[in-house]
Amino acid sequence: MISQLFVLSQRGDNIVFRDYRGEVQKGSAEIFFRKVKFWKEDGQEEAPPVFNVDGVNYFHVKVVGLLFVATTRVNIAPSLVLELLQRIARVIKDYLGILNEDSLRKNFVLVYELLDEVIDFGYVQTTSTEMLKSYVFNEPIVVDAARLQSLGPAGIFMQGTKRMPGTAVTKSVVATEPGGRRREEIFVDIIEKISITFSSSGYILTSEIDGTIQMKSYLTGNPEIRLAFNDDLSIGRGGGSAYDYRSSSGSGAVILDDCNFHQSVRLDSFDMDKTLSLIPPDGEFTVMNYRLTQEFKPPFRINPLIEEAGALKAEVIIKVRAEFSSSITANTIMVMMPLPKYTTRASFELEPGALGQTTDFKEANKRLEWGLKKIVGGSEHTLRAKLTFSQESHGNITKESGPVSMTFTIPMYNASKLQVKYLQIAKKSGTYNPYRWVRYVTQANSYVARI
Amino acid sequence: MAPPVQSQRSPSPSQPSGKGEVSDLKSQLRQLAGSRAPGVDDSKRDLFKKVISYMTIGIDVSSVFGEMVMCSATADIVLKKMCYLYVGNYAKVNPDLALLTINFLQRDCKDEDPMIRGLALRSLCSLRVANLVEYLVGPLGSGLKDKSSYVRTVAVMGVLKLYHISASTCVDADFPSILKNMMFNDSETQVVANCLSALQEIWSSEASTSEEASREREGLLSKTNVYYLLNRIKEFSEWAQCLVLELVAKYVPSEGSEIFDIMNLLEDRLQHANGAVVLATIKVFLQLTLSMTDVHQQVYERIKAPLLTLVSSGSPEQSYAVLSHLHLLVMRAPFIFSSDYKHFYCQYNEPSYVKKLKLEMLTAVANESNTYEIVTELCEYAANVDIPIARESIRAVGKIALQQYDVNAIVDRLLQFLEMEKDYVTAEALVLVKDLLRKYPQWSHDCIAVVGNISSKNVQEPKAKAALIWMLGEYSKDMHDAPYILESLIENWDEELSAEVRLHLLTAVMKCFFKRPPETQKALGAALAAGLADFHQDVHDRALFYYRLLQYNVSVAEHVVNPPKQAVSVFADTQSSEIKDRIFDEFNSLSVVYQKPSYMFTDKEHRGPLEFSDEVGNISIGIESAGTVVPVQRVDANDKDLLLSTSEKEESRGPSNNGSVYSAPSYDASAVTAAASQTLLELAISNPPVSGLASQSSLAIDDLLGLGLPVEPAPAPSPPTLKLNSKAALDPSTFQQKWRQLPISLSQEHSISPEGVAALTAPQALLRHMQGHSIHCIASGGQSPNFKFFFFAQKAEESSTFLVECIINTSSAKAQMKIKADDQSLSGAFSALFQSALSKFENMASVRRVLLSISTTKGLISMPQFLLIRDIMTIQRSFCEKAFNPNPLLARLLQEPNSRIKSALDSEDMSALKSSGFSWEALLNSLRSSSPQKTQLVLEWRLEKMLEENVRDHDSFSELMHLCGMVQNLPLAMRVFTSMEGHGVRPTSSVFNSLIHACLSSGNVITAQSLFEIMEGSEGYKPNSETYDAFISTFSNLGNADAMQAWYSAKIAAGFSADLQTYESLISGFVKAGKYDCADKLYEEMKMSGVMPNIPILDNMFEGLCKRRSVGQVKEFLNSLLDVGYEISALMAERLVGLYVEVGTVEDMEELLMTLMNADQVSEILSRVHCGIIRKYAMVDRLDDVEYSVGRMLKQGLSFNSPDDVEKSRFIRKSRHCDKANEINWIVIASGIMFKANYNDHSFIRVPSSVALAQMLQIAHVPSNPHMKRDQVISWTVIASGIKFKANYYDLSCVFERSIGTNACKLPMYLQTLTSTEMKACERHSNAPHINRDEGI
Repeated sequence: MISQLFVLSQRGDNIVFRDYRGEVQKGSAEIFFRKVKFWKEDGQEEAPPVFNVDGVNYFHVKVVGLLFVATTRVNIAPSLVLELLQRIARVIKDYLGILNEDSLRKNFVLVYELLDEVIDFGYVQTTSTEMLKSYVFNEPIVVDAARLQSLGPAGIFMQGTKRMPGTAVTKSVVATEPGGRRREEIFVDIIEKISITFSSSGYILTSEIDGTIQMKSYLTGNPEIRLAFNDDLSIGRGGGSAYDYRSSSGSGAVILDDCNFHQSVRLDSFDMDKTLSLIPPDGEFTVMNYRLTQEFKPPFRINPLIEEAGALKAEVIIKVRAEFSSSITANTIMVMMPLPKYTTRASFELEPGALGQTTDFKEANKRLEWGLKKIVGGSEHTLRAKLTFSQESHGNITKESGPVSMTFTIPMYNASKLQVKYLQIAKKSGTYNPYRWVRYVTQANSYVARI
Repeated sequence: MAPPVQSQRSPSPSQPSGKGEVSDLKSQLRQLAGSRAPGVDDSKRDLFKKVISYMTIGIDVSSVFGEMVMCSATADIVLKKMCYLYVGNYAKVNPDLALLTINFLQRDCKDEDPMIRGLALRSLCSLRVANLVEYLVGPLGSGLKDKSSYVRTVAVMGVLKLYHISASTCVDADFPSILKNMMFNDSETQVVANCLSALQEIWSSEASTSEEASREREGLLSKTNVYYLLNRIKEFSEWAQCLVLELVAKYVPSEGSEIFDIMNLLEDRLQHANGAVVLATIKVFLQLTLSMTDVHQQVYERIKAPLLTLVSSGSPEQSYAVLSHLHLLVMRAPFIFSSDYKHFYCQYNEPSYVKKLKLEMLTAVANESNTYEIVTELCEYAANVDIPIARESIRAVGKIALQQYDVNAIVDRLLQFLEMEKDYVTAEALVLVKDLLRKYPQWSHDCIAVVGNISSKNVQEPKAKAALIWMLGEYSKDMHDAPYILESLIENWDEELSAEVRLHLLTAVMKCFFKRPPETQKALGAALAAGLADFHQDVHDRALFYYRLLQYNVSVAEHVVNPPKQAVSVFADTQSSEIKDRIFDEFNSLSVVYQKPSYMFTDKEHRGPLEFSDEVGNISIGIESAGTVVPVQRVDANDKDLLLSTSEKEESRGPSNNGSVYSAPSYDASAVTAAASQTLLELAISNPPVSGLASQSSLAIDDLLGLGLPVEPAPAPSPPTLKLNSKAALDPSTFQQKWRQLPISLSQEHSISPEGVAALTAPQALLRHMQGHSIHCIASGGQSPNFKFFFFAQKAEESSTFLVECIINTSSAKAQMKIKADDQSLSGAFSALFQSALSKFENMASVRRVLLSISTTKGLISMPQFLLIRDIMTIQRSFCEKAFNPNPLLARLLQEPNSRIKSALDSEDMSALKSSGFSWEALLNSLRSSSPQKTQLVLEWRLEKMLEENVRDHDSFSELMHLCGMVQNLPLAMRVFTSMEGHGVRPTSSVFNSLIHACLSSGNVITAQSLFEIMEGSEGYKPNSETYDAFISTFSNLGNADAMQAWYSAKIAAGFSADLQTYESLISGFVKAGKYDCADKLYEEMKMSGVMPNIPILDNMFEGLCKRRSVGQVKEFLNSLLDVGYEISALMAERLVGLYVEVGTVEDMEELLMTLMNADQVSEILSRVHCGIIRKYAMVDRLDDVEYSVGRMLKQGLSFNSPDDVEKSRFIRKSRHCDKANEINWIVIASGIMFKANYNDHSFIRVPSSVALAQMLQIAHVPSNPHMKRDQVISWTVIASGIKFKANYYDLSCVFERSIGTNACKLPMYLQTLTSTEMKACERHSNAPHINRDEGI
């Protein structure tokens, strides 16, 4: 049973506050915020998503800088509450088009309408965007999409190139569009997050792809949809260790370790023709999550090197090579490397003619940061940095620096080779031909090279 | 620790300050209420939105309740919903007005639109007003039968809401059985789900009182019900599925095939994208298969992949929740997950709470095949930038080493850590190497070589230093430099802050001495001398112990200190298996995330007290260590088999080496009772010959410590013939059943000595003690002052059982026992046995406490009830009263850094410091507020100085201790005491008094009590009157009237008479505890004995009277005070006025005013009374009188004292005469503002009427008012802004003129905020030639 639900801004202001059972004191939002803000005196550790203060359990999730919080006094299932908070954020986003502090403040009455129906006396009633439609009467006030943070990885599509309309993440499920008629369209996003650890000699120590397929449908009349994947896709590695690479390398088949599906997904013909069928509900939802540990080609190779160059000096060389096709471009790349504590200065040297690259030495946490706007497939970039130390390193220099980590986004690329072969919409009439968007993106989750 | 709450956050633009806006809203709402003009709904929407946004940010908008209700007559559904939301929020505080809403809600409940019916019904049930329940039953009844499923879902929840407002109404209307019926027949799954939730809640709460309800609750788990729900599960929403699965997890199938049916049915739920569904399903699987080893293991295999997928999909928060569950499973069955170890590698960007879980999992899954890789990975983290994680990683490596058999490679790694030369890495590694050596002594050679190279100067952390010293002592034979390193450490004894390190140093040097006597002799002498002078009690005691041991017999000493050791096979686990099982039973709940069973973090009200129910399962059996408590066999044995790798470890930890480090062969564990504290245990274990020296052990210890304690009283007379079975076992359900069945055969009360009471603050000790007497505890609970225990015992060689319920009230020092027995005839004998065991515990407790308490303050202080005591009045009063004269030394000390404090003091002129004009108290007190550390340094300096000058006068020591007490520095006071003793100065009563003061002021009552006992037992320093007063005053401050009275009686009994100080403490204590009669009695007694009351006593008596709300008595008392020319204090005036405003009449107050005026009381007091009168008039809506009183007050040159007064006085909201009220409000506000109040409060400056303005202008012109000049400009500003709000530019310009006239050079700052149009308007009306906007600045 949930006792209260509230949303706080980054500064701790209540944006909405709903008390369902009146069994937790009124000041709970303040108590919560102080606790989260000052979890440990040194501010080093983040507050965990669930904690207990004086018999009240506080759950929170952070979404675009907002804190979605629930309180309860009973010993409830934590994953249920955290899942619910995440879902509430998503439902709100479905209705407001954009979820951020501004839109929430402008539409808080609508949000109250939603919260009233989602939870009654602490029990979850429904989180289906579609079902909620009939209970919501406020028109959303859609805020300007110009400067907003994205919700989740799908936010990458916001950049709105020609192939990827930016509207998909900012369209409210209820607002009427200026043109009057709503455009019939459906978006399928395949988002993959890569975790890789390279050993100091460049071998892959661990690798994993966490993928999710998200769908957002603006189709009228809830037609059935069929989603077909590569023929060589299979789920579950028959026995053996999850990290047993030999079984899959070379065969080219895509083998998912495991996956889970949205409630609406029917798997009746999956074994036969690798097809999912579903009737998509309104709003954004996850069709499927999957996990894959079979060997794949990492999009980037990182070559870090640190060498002593005199008593109080050292040189760092980092090479990054993009190992994907030249038709694809990665963007917003950031390479970071912690340097020895006694580093006092770092001077950088980029390759001649480098464009859109930034370098920085963060004094506070002794970290080198190298930013690249884009990297075209097949290219290689190098950074050299000369370090000055305040004390001698005693030959421990490699132990005191690194590992190198990297973040990036590669649109229209997926490391797992999972493909959507086609997206079929059950037709209603001949003229009915909605827009279909299938989009891929790959991001770094934990992309690390040790020294 | 989080900083204190900011009482007022600076208002951000989006968060208006409130009051003014609310009254604005109110009037706007009122205007709209009746209007039918087109577009009115839109304006209403805007206003409603504003109201709700205020409500959200926490501004109290309950005052517009009436208006909101009036506006709600609308067809606009958006408006309706907002209105419902509002009403639901404020109905509880406005029960009368809530009645207004009933009508329209009831009407809406019959609306055609099901949406509106549902909404109205939900709001109706959300009002939470008890006297409206009669209006709920009808609409709920028809709601449950509504044809719309939406209305029905709402109505079901409504029933539950009704149950919470008035359970009897709900049950009487037969709603539960209607819900039960609906649960089986309704077509809509959400209705079914809601019925299930509602019935579970209702029947669980009814079950405690009604047999039927508890049967019904059982019925929910019946096969038919569970199958009915399971068969429909896919129709339910994902959330309702969780609900059903939670229920199924409690279902106990009658035959094995059912288990597989259910699992097959739920198999695909494991692939759900919603983690909550997956975890709920997993719980079902785990619970169902508990008794089927093979299948249970297959379940682990099956759920692995879905769990891992959930961990890596979803938000970090969701994955944390799942990971916590995975962690639990990994810890239970590590071998199942051993091939998945790579999933538990940390990612560099994960939050530390995730990393910590993963490190533990890595440690657990390490086995022969993966250890190398795991350790390699962990070593990478050791160099991590995140230092806490780096430390954890090193510890993890160590733990793996301790659980493996082949540790070659790991030892090398650990030794490499030592060479890394990062201080924290070295520190952690040292501790690990020590543990490793205890388990694998064969590695000593390799380790010693490396450890020997570490300079002890580079090791600072106490734990690491202690480890290093232990190794120096243990391996001093092989470490060439050991005696010399130890010697240099002993030379720096005084700089060593950690007692743990000093203890180890003592032991190490002893060990070293036995191995290499000539080289160590000198060091040993120095160490013992230093140890004997140590202010830390444990260190002192151990030094004394070693000293006497050596004196007694050197070879015995060697045997004690340096016995042959066996390697430790398994280290004790921190969490008992019982607790782990409990957490596993509560799978898919917060228990897993917190790693605690629910009874440790859930409120009582959310689980029954001392309930034996399986579901709640909160039997709190001695939590400390499993070895001393009979483990309750809760988990099926088969499960144990499956989880062999964990249980193996637990089983191998037998009682013989539980908690002890060495398994000393000659030591008989039963010689010392289990109740012995850890210190005692440790002492006893490390000296087997002593404890082997027959039964004199307790005497020996007494003698040893020279405390001269009385010998324990002989055990209860006539040793009972009854013998109990020491290995009795009884499971909770049998206990519960027996308890129900058996009649009470004996019920007794037994009073407990204060020592026993104090010891009960740690009930585990009692449990262990009772167990030593073959009386076992099955459940315990409660919080101070009430503790409740259930014990059981069995007769030896017979199955006759005794059950005891023992309720101990620590504040009344009474124990109530109810004894039930299978064989009634034996209950008397058993009772005697029980009581003798209990009284032994008390005696035990006092001995133990003396041994323990003096310096292990840390543990004791953490007890909640002592935390509260911060300021002890008696001590603080002494310096508060002294005037503080600015002191050059203070200024200097404040500037100096800590390191230079002592030298700064050295350079001061000693004679000045010793002169009587100089007050150390004042200095320390001022210093303390800015830097507590400096006070410590100053005090330390004084101590050093005194020792240097060889002061032998105990008063000086006493004073110094007193000062330590004042700054709540107990350890330092102790140090002063030991230094004094070491210096050969005999303690006196006053010295002890100071020490007791110090204990009490730092909140350590227990230590204070043991000191008192020492005093009582002494010759030269018996407790004196002051000693008793200190306790009386402490308990008085704590509001513990019983304890206070006990001490008072003790004082009288000791032959002291009560003095003024005693009376003061007693009376204030009684008043605080609400025992006014006692206070009265004492007051009379005091007067009888001829002691004149002082001001605090009078204040307290007065407070007592006021709290009793008896105006007559107060009046009488007041007059008696005034008769003797007593000046009443501001506090008393405050109370007086408060009382009168609450219960008196206006006439009373007028009379009071006259009395006080005649008695020439100060103006501050009078103005309070004035304000009270105004408030009173305002309350009864006599506006003319308000006006008159304000005028009268102003005329007397008095004013409001605080904005709060103004605020209260202007509160005339309910007035019928609205305009008039407003005007007066403004006068009040204006005068308040003029004189004192807060000029920045912009809520004050809205909409005064012109009449009020005129008044304000007039007040502003009262020439005689001395306050005026100073703040004139600001007051003009306030007035001007008020006018500006009205856009009355003519008045505005007048105001400017006048203000220019009075203070031409400073134009109001306010001008800056005017817009240019406004400026022009002003200029047009103004005679002033030109008002320049910028001029004001």
